[in-house]
Amino acid sequence: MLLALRLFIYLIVIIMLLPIMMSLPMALTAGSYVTFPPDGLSLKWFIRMSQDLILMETIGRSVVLALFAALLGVILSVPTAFAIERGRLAGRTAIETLITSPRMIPQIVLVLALLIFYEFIGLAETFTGLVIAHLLITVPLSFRTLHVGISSLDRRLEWSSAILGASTARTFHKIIVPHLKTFLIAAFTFAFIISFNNVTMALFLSAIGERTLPVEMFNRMYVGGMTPVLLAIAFVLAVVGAVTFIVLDRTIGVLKYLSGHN
Amino acid sequence: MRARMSDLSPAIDRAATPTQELRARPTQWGALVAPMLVLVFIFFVIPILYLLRMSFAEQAFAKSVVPIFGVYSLENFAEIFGDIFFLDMIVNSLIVGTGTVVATLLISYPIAYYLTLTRGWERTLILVACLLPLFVNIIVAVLGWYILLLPFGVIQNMLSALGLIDGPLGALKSFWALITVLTYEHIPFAVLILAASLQNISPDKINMARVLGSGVYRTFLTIVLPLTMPGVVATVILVFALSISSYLVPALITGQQVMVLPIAIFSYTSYLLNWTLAAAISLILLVIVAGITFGLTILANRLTRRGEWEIV
Amino acid sequence: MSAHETHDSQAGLETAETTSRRSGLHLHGLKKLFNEQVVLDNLNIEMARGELLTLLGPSGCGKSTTLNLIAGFIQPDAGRIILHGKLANQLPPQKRRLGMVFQSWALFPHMTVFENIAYGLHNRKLSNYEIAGRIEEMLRLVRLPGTGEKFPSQLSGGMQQRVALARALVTEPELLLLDEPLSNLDAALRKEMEVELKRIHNQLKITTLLVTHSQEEALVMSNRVAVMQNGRITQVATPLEIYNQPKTRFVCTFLGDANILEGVVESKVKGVAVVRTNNFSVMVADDNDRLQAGGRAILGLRPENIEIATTDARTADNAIPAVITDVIFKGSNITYYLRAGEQVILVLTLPSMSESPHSEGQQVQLLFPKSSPLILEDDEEGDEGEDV
Repeated sequence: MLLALRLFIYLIVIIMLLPIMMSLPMALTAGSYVTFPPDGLSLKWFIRMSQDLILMETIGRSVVLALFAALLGVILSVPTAFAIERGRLAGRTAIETLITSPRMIPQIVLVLALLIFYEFIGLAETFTGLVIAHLLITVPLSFRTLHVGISSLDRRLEWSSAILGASTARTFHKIIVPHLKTFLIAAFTFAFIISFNNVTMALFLSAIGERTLPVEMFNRMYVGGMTPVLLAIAFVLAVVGAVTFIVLDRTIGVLKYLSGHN
Repeated sequence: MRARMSDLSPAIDRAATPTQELRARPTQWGALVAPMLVLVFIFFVIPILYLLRMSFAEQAFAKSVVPIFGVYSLENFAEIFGDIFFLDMIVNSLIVGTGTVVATLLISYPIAYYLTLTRGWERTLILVACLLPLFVNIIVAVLGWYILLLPFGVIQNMLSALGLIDGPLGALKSFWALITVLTYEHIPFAVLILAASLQNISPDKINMARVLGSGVYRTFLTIVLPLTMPGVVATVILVFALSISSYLVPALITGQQVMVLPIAIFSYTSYLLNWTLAAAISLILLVIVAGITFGLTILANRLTRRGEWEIV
Repeated sequence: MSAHETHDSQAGLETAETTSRRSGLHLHGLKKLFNEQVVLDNLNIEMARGELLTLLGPSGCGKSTTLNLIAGFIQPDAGRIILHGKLANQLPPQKRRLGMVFQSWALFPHMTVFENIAYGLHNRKLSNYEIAGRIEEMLRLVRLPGTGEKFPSQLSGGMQQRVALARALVTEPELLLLDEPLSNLDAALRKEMEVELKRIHNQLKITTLLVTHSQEEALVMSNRVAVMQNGRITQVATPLEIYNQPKTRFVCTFLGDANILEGVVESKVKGVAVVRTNNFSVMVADDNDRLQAGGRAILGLRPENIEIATTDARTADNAIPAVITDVIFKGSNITYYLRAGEQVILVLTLPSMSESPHSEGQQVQLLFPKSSPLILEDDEEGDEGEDV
């Protein structure tokens, strides 16, 4: 019985890894089309990819967008999380719900609403509009991460510091910030990943000539079908994603964080 | 575990704590929250409200302003519910959502269970494999599945060209493809929730059931399942909502073969430029998601008599 | 009550087997390793029908492991587990027909008290009426009548513990396993439950194996106590015997307080030995010839067996001069800390209305007869542990 379970699990593990790994052998094809098995082996599509200026531009744009969204998100979330946790505001739960609600509705509905709204206030197809949209969907996560971090602060450490004569600023700097460091990094990184990988929002809200990487890939596939260049990019993205996961786990124990109370 | 400031009376903790922040009054805290609230209010609440308003408007050409106090009309909904095409779409979405949920649960529950049994590298391997879709761009996964499903697609076209099969089989295969990829994308969420839920069951309780004479099946049905029910319900709600809202996967995997609501929203927004209709379809999508959420939560609570007891 | 006869080599195998069939539990040569570490080492236990045997020992001695092996949650690396006369090693827990109460009680939070208790009756083919009747009976037994429709989260700790007990007993198991069942209760409740458990055991006469680290529970509730240390049983006896005749230093100090005196046997004449410690000499009655002249001796002296005398008028076998360093009033007794040379000694006396207690700094004589010191073995010494 346990053996059957194990077999099942390993089968699933293989199936989970398969699509992500599929892109590599296909991208290494020497031929011109996507075939299985690949038509000889060559790195030419990877080279073609790095020479594709438009593609490189979209990667840059995606990175900048994600940086903005993540940074602004964290900057907004920190004081908010502090206020929710420490201040005695009325309606704390309501505020929390409000902040996280953009993630609770279907993203396609949210993006339509934003599109229409942007049209009327002139933010349609602008970078700013896209940043704001990404803020809406990343802030819930960075807020929650920081909230967990702040509520796990032991107040008695701060009081000890104050009793020993430290000013508020010093206490903040020496006691609070080190504790929050991990959470800040986690919040920033999760926000970055969500923004970088996001397709739906960028699809609707970015200008034709100013696509982000996922949108560019989507478009090429939608219009021109599958090409080896796409697979080359896909593989690179897969590796980046996997490496990020492993690095996150090594540094801030993200597996523990995601898998709950361990 | 931590000292709870809210437990002490305000007078006491004001006297006891010298740090300046606690001497701040609510208005100063309010100032910290304000930017966030402004952001969410302007760029979320208002747009959504406006979207709702638009769905109840007369159909207009895109980009024309629909005044808030203008004409309200059920025109859009009449069109949707009067057209078999739309009704088909709603049914398709529901089928896709349900199928994805069932498949995701059937796969993720055993995985979550197995995770409570292993440690070390095996556990890490399984977790990494199952959580990878969260970190790797969805496009990569879709491309990968496209390649994997291509043989099926090819086979399907071949068979239909040979006249061996008709349309329905083709559509069915597309459904399966869609559900497969959507399940793939949502296994991480399910595994996370269910693993946490299963972890919270003390092994003592399972052992106790065994001593009292329960075999594996009875223990699962009478102890494990009821105690993980909140997790199961949360998973169902989340996966259902996410899968019927997915635009990318249907667009790239099945194209026009399986029409689901998000595809219609996209079409009416970007190509047909009928934003009021798109808004109406969005509202329907919202209502379905909300309905499932509330309905399932209440149903599950009834079934497990939750609210009368707590974990002990 | 004593099962030692069955180990008598003169009794044939047949007798051993018949006795096994009569008793609920027989552990033979049980051995268990965790990560190369020996947790249980050649454990032998045989319980007489209807007795309450306590496995008493510090954390890590292997007592919970023993319970888990008997219940079937883990498998032994060697040895046999015989339940109800049959070899049970391969039986899964659900087929072993045991009753068990965990330290955490493990009540099912999503079921009512009634459903919790009824859980074990599902395959007995009883009618609903019969089941209800049994449950009512159980609730009355544990003094919780009428709580059937409550959920565990609505009950206090003491009540939850009794529900756990009722759940274990309702199936009328032939062997009841209790794993530190009182540890989660506060002190007052614990004392109350010790007496309750004893009462219930006397009424039902169910063979019970209790595991605990609390000497008080062991002494209050047991028919026999087996002291466990490092995976072995050091001594097994009735509570009275084990308190008054401890075999080793460990048993002596684990049950009750004791002053441990170590020294060399100076002389041994007609069953009376004189032991010289670093600070004084002690006269010890040694009827069983356990001490040899010139050999080492470890003696245990219970604080309540020592008398404090302020004058030289009293005589006793032993009169040791000492000075009082601390007087601690504990309500029901007074504990004196004294020094005789380098040795610290504790003495327990009952407070009295007429005598004024002795005070700090006072020079006194410690009196005790030669029958008071207990002759102890060192731990780690020789034998393979006792068979229960």
